[in-house]
Amino acid sequence: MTVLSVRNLNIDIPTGDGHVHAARDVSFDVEAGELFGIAGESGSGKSVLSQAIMGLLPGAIISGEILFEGRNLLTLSPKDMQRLRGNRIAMISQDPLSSLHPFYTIGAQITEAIRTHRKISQAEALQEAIDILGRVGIHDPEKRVHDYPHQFSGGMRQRVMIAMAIVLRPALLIADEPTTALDVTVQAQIISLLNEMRLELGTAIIMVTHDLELLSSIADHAMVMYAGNRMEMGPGEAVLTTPAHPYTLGLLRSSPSHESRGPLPSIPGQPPSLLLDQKACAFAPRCAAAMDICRQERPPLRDFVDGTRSLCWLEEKAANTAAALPAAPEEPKAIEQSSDIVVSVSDVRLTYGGRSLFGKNINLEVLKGVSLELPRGKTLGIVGESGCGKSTLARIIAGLLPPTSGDVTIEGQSVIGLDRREWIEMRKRVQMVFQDPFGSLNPRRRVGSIIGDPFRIQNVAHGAARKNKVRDLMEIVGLNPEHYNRFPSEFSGGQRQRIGIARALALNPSIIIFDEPVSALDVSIQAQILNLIGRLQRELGLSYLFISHDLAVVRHVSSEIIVMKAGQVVERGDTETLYHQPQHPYTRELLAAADPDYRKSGGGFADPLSQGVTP
Amino acid sequence: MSTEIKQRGSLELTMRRLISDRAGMVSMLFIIALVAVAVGADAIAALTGHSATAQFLNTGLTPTGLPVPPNGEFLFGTDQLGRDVLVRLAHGARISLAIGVVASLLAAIIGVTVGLVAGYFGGWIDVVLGRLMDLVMSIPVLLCMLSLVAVFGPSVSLSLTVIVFFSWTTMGRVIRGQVLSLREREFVVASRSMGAGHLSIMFTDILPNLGAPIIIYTTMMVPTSIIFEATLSFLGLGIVPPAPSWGGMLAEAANNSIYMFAWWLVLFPGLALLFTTLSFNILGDALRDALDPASMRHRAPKKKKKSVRAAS
Repeated sequence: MTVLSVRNLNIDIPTGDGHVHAARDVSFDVEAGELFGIAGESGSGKSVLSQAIMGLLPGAIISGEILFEGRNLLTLSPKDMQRLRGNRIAMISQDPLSSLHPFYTIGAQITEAIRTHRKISQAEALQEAIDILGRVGIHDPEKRVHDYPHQFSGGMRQRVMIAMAIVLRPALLIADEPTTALDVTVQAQIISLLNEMRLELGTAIIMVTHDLELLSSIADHAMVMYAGNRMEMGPGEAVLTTPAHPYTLGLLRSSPSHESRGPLPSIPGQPPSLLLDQKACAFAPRCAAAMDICRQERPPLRDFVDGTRSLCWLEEKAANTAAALPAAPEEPKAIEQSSDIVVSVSDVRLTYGGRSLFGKNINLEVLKGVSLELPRGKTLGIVGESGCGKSTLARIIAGLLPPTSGDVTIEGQSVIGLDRREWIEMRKRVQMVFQDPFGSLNPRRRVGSIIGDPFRIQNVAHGAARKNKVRDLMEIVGLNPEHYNRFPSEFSGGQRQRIGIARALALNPSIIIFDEPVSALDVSIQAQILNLIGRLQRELGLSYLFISHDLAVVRHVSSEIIVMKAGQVVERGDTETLYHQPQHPYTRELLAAADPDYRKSGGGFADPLSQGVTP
Repeated sequence: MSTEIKQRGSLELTMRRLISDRAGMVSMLFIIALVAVAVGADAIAALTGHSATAQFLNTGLTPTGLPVPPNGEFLFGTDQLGRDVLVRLAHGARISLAIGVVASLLAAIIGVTVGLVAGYFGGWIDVVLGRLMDLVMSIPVLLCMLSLVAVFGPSVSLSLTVIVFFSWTTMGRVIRGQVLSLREREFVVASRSMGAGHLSIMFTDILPNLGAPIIIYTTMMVPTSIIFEATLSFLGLGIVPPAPSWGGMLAEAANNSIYMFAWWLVLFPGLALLFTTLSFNILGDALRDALDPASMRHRAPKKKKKSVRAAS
């Protein structure tokens, strides 16, 4: 039975710049008990689509049909829609912290959801809440139902959200990036929980995500969106293994999860603005297999024997078309150089705290004795989940934060206790690239002055000479030097990260610390940035410290890896050895959680992490 | 239709939002008109042939010595001394605007500096400056003013000083809060990691990001300062008569309850004061909506208006 049927949906959202065409002629069906995946990069319209189904887009101009159990949601009165929301259609959002009310116990929030739609007593509702919490894997639900959201860890909160969503047995559950905000090991648990619940209750799930691999390993059907268009739709397995659209193929090939080393085959360019009217194929400017007709007419819908449908002029599946493969850039020769140690960290500890109001000693140990060494011209990867102290370590090595004890030396010189002049000198050796390409650039300054900042601060190169240097840097990182006078807001995430890298390169440092440089970027852009990082290392002989929570990314760039947990190094070793013969149980768990095949088997962990309360 | 989408700069977007705000535009027009009147106060005096302090004992007063109501010669009537209310109002606008704007600007400068320093350095500096702001806020304004006037005698510069002294704290607190969150942003850490000093970070990284709150709160401070000045003049502590000021005119109207008979003596200065403060407040709101659209309360977009901007 078809639960949801979307027919020729067009969504236009009026903004100050004109109408954003967030969905164009999108159609799909979701069967009862099915897991339907919607994948796409940011700005592809996937989240807008799920909001349109929930009726949460008040200002938008929507045409087409959204049939839910035979009724068109677009013509339903607000009151009827309200009756459906939460009861027949439920939603789980990305951030479990901000979707739970911090002031009420989770029991109160779940019973409120139940009693809004059903006339039952408070005691009965509480009993139902306890039942459902037990089912989603909360231990001791009778007690924990009276706890507040902050007493749960991130993964547990997401379980509570799931409990709240399924307690009324909705026919359809929309999960908008349900695991993006969570750590890898927890992600796997949440996905398998969603899967279990769907099999048990027969709820259809629409899962919106940017992670194509995750999706295709569990979804019955998957839909790939790009610039508001449905590019490809078909059985999950088929979309993953033999993608029909060049875009899907490009996305899959550019994620660094293969055994591959060296440059990744990336999709060139940027996604188009959704303000534009599309006359031809939206993907044509970035497509390796683009033909003349792609740029002139809208592509037709092609049906393939395995049930895949693709919006493309290619007659064959892209996976079987040689031209559709995105090309990997050539790998230039690395500079030969001596492998002396450039960064040496010995037994660094950091403790926050002191005395609390009542004289108790409350010390929070963030780093508990970390040591590492980085040879010249190499990349050392640091992996760990959020809160393990890896970003703190990066700031200590960069000299931005003094450690409580221990020593950091860069090229033989300690970074601790420098006077002002020495400290400024040190800045020329070590630089940082930050995680957030939106937060790390001053929004009120022009790109030219942002990249030129190191020159201004260090008082080197003035006037025209500085401008030329900045233009050279922009060229090196693949930015158009013509954009010298633009503001950061006029660039996309990937371009901003390039600006950040150009700024780090300005003073010719020998060491660059990357703090999660690609975690905020889409897959196709991530590949471009990783390639750039790799190319710069080979051309300039840089040494990198590469910090990430994403094992696949770290594995791709690093020659050596250390694994951190709770402020300690639990394992270190050569990349390949670490991947094939992990010694520490935590490393094994991380590896297992990041493996799509593992997720597919839907297995749980013998001893699940983070079952407890966060401290 | 061309397919090229022009990306609008933030200034252009702000202007578009501002212009689409009807109340804000009306306020702005009123303020512009008021500035014109204030600047052209002498011209008005020349046109009517009445100077601000001149008494017209023959035409401006009834045979019984009462003020005349609005007529052809005196558009807004005359006061109890036979002076032209319109001309005095225009001259009063000068004082009100000058004190309002100058006091707001000075208070803004002090507030921004203190807020920036307190928020950026934190620690004991923040504690000291924070307590200083608390201290200023806890002083009873009128009491303090009364004693100051008793010692120094009323004057424009004294009014200005008092207004500035009591109004910079609001700005200081707002800026301090903003700086506290800005200094934790990654671009500040990035600047630091390149070796930037404190002054460089404060002026090139943090200050440009405070543009919106500074503009908004300075605009909002203008009406407060104008009211403040009017209050002082009303109590006879501000502008020294016979120089006209709105507060002083209201005070004169209240003397001997002359307003019971001559309603125009209260109505026109009162309306001038009301519309001026209202306009600055509405303009401040409009500026906030335009500069910081995220804070704008949700407005249902008009569905009828489907005009596509083809030209862009």
